Amino acid sequence: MEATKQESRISGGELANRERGRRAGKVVRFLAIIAFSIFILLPLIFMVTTSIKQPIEIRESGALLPTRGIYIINWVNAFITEPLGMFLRNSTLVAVISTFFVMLIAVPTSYSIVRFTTGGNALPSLILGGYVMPPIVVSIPIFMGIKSLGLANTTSGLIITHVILNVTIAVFLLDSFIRTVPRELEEAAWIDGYSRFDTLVKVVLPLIRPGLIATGIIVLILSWNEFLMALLLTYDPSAQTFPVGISRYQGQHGLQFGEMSAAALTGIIPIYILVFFFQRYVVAGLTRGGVKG
Amino acid sequence: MRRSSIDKHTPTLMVIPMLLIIVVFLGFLVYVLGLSVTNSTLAKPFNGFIGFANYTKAFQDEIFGKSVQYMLIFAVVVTFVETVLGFLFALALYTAVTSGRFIRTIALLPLFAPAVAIGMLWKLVYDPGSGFLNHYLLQWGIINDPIGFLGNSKYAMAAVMAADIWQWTPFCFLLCLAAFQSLPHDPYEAAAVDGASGWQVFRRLTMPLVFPAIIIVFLFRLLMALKVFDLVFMLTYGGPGTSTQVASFYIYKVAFTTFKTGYASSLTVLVMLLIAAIATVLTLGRTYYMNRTK
Amino acid sequence: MASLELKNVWKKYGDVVACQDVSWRCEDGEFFSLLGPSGCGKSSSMRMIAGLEEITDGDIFFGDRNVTKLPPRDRNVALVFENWALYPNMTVYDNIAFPLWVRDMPKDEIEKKVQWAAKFLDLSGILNYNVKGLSGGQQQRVSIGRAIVRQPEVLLMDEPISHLDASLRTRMREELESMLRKLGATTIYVTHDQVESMAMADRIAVMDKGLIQQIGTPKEIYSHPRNEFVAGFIGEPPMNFAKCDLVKMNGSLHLKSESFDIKLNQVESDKIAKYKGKPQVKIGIRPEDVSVCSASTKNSVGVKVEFVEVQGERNILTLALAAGEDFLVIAASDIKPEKGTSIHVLFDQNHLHIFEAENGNNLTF
Repeated sequence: MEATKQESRISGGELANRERGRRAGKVVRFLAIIAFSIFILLPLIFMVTTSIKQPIEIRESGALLPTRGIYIINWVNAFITEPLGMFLRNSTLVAVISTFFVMLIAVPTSYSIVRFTTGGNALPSLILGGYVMPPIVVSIPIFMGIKSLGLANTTSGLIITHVILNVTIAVFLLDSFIRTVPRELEEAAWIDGYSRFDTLVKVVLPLIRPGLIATGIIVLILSWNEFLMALLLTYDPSAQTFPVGISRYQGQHGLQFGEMSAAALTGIIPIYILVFFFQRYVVAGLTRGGVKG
Repeated sequence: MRRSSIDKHTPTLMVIPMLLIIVVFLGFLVYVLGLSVTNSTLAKPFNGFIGFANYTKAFQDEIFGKSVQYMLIFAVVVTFVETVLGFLFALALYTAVTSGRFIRTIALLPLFAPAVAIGMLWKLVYDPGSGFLNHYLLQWGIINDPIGFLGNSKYAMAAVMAADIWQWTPFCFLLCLAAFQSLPHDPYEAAAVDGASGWQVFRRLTMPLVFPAIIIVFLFRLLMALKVFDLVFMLTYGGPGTSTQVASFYIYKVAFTTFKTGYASSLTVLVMLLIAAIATVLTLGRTYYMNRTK
Repeated sequence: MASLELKNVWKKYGDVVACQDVSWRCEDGEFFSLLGPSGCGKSSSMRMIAGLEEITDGDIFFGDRNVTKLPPRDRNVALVFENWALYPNMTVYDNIAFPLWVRDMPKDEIEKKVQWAAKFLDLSGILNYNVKGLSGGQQQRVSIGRAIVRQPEVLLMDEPISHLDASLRTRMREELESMLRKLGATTIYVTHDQVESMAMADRIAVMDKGLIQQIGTPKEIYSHPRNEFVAGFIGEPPMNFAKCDLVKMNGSLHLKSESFDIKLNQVESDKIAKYKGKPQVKIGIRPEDVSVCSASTKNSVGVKVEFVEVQGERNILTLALAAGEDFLVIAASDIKPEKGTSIHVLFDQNHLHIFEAENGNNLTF
């Protein structure tokens, strides 16, 4: 019902061109959808098909589809050539735990800044500054720091690092979500006797649940995908994460594209499943934070 | 549920963990500054005070200058292309209701794969033997011999840019899409009744309304693109030669392959200052522009 | 300016029927109002006249022109939107000038016309202001300015003052009316507020559930409502209703219920002489047509006083009939019975309406 009403309420531009342009508009849109889909999906499909091609065929040609039958052994080898299972386990550990701590720190911080303007102008600017810095800038001190704490090549060291790196983004993202909660609701809670902290937990958080999910997922993915610090701080598979693991496939064994593709996919697919189910939240998080600047 | 006197201090208490992190962060910056005026190596931090010697060396370092150049060129070009493409796609697709969910889902895919995986993917795509780019170019007769995109210093930078554009255009698309979808409906009906053509509506109504958002998308993405590292690492490792060695990569090499942390720190400081300057100029510029059109 | 006619217009959104076989005609220069509750089809009708909605079936004529298939730009209508729909990034001047600019009018001509419209609406002082910072009343005037600046054939107004606060609304209503009279445009005014319609329009079309209920001048609709809906919708305070039976007793017609037994006079009897349907009917009588009387008056009705609202030069009595119905009566300010007392009232049969129970048609029409 809504769809038909929406179709009737045609926008000004389209109505004006109704005689000539309506079909043209639809064609353009259709072509755009096709172009967009091909643009995005083509390389990804190629990665999938390469992962199931026989190695001989991979070396020979770069055709899109496998012509010599499907070869699943690549996937098995991916786990044998390198301890892929270990990498995935480490990534999961680091991502989940660091996200947990990031949210623990970012939520009160963001709330405090938005509601009580704690830190005036200085604090938000510092946080923004932290976000803008390329990770390379702090790579040396973090490296030295973690090493001196004896946490080099441990997941704990990486967790601490990720918390430090990602908390600024989390504060930034949560900011725009917290602003959507009307002040009156919180004031009513204060009048009813809730403490500031209770108000945050019992009133505000439930209202920004989508924002929390969006931020949490984005931080999780950032941690999962993080490369530089993981590269620097770990030197053997016991602590190395998935992105570092991927880079190892290229160094040691020449370029085994089949295995590499399979390996890459094992780390990408869980993320994609996550994104698929939570895409509404994720898009909201991205566009909120992004467009509002 | 009684409110205690602690409550007054709650806001401050809430930010303490963050403050700790900020202190740590600032500590890092101080550390880097400190290192930059010493002759440190990875093994021997704070080896010896040498004043601004590292900085003078940096200004004379041609490779460093080149790397900064590459960083800037890379960031500006990819941001520009990504913003324009994202805008065009958003313009074409924002009225698509039925396929909206599908579009949105696939737009998220390049974004959320780890950059190293994307790097690996494009390494594969560009490969002369195994990649589909060469395969189909050959098959369709466009070229006669396979091109080693990543091995050719003329093409390497463009190849890396292309990979980044593939990864981030959908991001710009999603942001522009949000901007288009937040346009108010009513003025468009008024424009229809007023008799405006599609082009007139676009020029006079749509563009002025979305342009500020597009600018934000551009600036946002630009600051992100300056940080590029993972992609370069995976695709070209700075090569061939140094033709794709962007600033962050060069610093990495100096600090972690030649272990000259003192020198690397000075480079870091310089890059940091440059980025801070750019960010400031852009923010001020944007504020100026916004106020001018009031 | 021209006449406007809708002929057998239907509007369906999928299975939902918004307008059913709507036909009416409005003459050149007439102020015609579409009145009805939410969802009655008045907004859909207006949007179809403007060309913003497709017409499922039927035709619309501007004068002799069949505009049914034409897009808005070819119809030469102007629409004042409910939420004003101003162009947010433009100044007052640009908003008003937009329809002229769209038609490639030369700049000096545009200037002349915009200045005229601005003066007409008292906007000359704020022409260079961006519309975003204006008050509701100002924005509404800009919206009207944009509509009148190109002297359209038909001027459509979709609840233009419903989003202003109450005091402003009354003032704007008066200003609007005098302004539109001066303009002399064929105006279609859509509203759910019957006070507005009754005060401003030459003729009103009352709509409910997609159907035209009645078309007539305010006076006609007020005094001779065609059915129960129109009778109850028009008038403030609203008409009183009560169910009863139409029976023949001792050779004359009586309206009989638990609360009253009224013998119809000759005039009324004649009006419903032809009625052959079921005896269950509903009577309707306006508060000002009920008067307080003594118990001994013929046809008087016994009631209990529930509440007396003092309004200065008149009182509004809320009375309960024997069977529990609530009646409102407008009485002179000196009539102030005690709450809880029993009094008697008389229904003025000249203004007594009798409605069929099933379809609500006014048998005394």
